[in-house]
Amino acid sequence: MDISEFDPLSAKDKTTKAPESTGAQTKSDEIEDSNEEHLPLIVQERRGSLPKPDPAADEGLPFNFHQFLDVLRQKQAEPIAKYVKSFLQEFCKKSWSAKEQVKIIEDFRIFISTKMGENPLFNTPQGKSTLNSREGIEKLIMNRLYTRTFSPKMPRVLRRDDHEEDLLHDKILGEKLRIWSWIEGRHLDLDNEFLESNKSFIKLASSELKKINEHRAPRDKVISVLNCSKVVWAMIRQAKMEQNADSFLPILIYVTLKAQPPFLMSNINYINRFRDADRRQGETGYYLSMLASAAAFIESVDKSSLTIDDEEYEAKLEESVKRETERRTLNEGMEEEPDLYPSSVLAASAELLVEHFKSFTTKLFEGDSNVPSPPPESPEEEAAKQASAEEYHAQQLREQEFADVLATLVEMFPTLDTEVIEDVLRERGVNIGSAIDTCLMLVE
Amino acid sequence: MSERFAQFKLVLLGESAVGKSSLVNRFAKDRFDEFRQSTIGAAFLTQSVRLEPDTVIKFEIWDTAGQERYKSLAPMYYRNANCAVVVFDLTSSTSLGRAKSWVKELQLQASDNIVIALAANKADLTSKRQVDREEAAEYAREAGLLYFETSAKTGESVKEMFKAIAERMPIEDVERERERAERRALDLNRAQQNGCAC
Ligand SMILES: Nc1nc2c(ncn2[C@@H]2O[C@H](COP(=O)(O)OP(=O)(O)O)[C@@H](O)[C@H]2O)c(=O)[nH]1
Ligand SMILES: [Mg+2]
Repeated sequence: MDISEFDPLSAKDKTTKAPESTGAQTKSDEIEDSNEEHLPLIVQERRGSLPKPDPAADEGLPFNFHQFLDVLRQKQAEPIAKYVKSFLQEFCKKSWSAKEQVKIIEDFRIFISTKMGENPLFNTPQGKSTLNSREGIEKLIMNRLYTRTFSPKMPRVLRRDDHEEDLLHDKILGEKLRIWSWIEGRHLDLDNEFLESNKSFIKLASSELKKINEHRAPRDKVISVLNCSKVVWAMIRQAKMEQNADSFLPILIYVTLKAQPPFLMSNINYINRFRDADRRQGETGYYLSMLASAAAFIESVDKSSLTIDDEEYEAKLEESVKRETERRTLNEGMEEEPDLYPSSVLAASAELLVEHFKSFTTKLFEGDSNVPSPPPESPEEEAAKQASAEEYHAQQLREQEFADVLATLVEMFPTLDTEVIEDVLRERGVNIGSAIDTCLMLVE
Repeated sequence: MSERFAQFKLVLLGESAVGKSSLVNRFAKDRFDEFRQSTIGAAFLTQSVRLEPDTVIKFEIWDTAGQERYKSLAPMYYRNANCAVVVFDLTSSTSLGRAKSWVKELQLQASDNIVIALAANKADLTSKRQVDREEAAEYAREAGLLYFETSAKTGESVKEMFKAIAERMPIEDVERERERAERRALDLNRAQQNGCAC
């Protein structure tokens, strides 16, 4: 896709403009992101400051998506909002291979960040908001394009070879995860008792890992991997084990087996494809590789990779293979998920395709709320209402999360007073990583 | 002229207990600066080496699980590595054998221009030495490796080894890549502006 194609100001683009929803042109909240904002636990992926200013240097600034959207809604930001909108429309006009998608999105990132750099709204004197804008753009477009870029969510007609490969890989790994779910700590030379006495850590690490499939934005998926890793380290430190990869990897494998994260390969590939390349390096890259290698280990487990005797191995494996075979016969015929999209044969008809895209693109900026729309209000009123509903929803989520995390931490640190842990949590703003650090410090 | 700066990925390979973690800890503990730090956990460390007054090389050091059962996962770690330190324990000749097979694997499978250093560790244990210095150095020369006899315990040759690796890092390539990325951003915007003009 050529850059000029998604320039709304370019003359040749006029013919390809998608139908406009009524008044969308002037409505300033048209790019409102309606997906609930997941609250990342690690708010900032802090890296050491560097001797030369580089993009990582301002990472001390926590990412604030709402702030980004607020800026984007301002009048002066209109050109940027238009670029985004027209980019999304162009993207949705065709099916792309994953490789093409990576290139297109990467080009757009570069393009839009230059544009934002020229815009005083995004380019403050301190240059502080640059990172926030980059993160904001990524989250905005990837939220929007999720069902066209994350293989398990893609309609069949749009999937190309590399997306199909993701799904196949998911299926294989999913089977292996179930087949090897009986693996105990001792089979990986981890002390069963040690795992038992730290099972709240294992539980928390697994639930963090599972979130990889719940988030849409690449950054949020990454954060669930990092949070999971952080909890594993907390467990290692608490148990005074040696702090190295020899200790870390087996626990991560064990956690992965317990978590049974759905579509793990698709999630890993999605991160590697669409997470900002600069943010995928360094320590983040290390933990992504660790997770990928845990998955690779599980995919290729055999007797020689476990500490186990023949008899136990044969018995356990036989039983789990039997279960898996039963499961497969049970699922036969239901293999493919009901496809809401036209079958590939029908879709070959161009007309149908056009219809399909039309409804897709009009939906694009309408927000995904199921609530029937009330009589027309002024855009300002509507935006205010939506914002407060969202805020309420976010608040509820936060409270629920707070309660969950508090309960888990109380379980993990039985020697600390509940009130103390609650204080730590309040102060840390439900940041699992730093809350655990503080609790560990208090225990030590 | 402003400071030149680049980051490079370094992996450690070698039999269990030869001293990989100890070497990294020794290197990372010598506080060259205060910004070396990992935020998640201890298996990923960074440490910088200052070369000339105007060049800083930052190593991202990847610790790998050394247990035999994870051996087949090694390619996932050394992929895209700019440099590797292959460690053996000079009081154990079998560990040298293992190191040689790592070197072979890296030369076959890792990036073409990977810089490999062979570290004969535990040089402080002179009375228990099993590997002859000349022999090991000769092997390293033939295989095109840097060779250092190190001691994580006393610190002997540890800094020197990392500095020698740093000197071989292709900082010019990194800078060229940076310029290329900047040009690409310009091109993309120009393409769009041309689109406007029509
Ligand atoms: N005397 C001596 N002992 C060392 C040296 N380096 C490591 N060790 C010891 O060797 C053992 C294994 O070291 P470690 O760093 O864990 O090895 P790794 O498994 O390769 O990471 C530890 O007991 C270290 O104290 C050294 O240079 N000299
Ligand atoms: Mg070690």
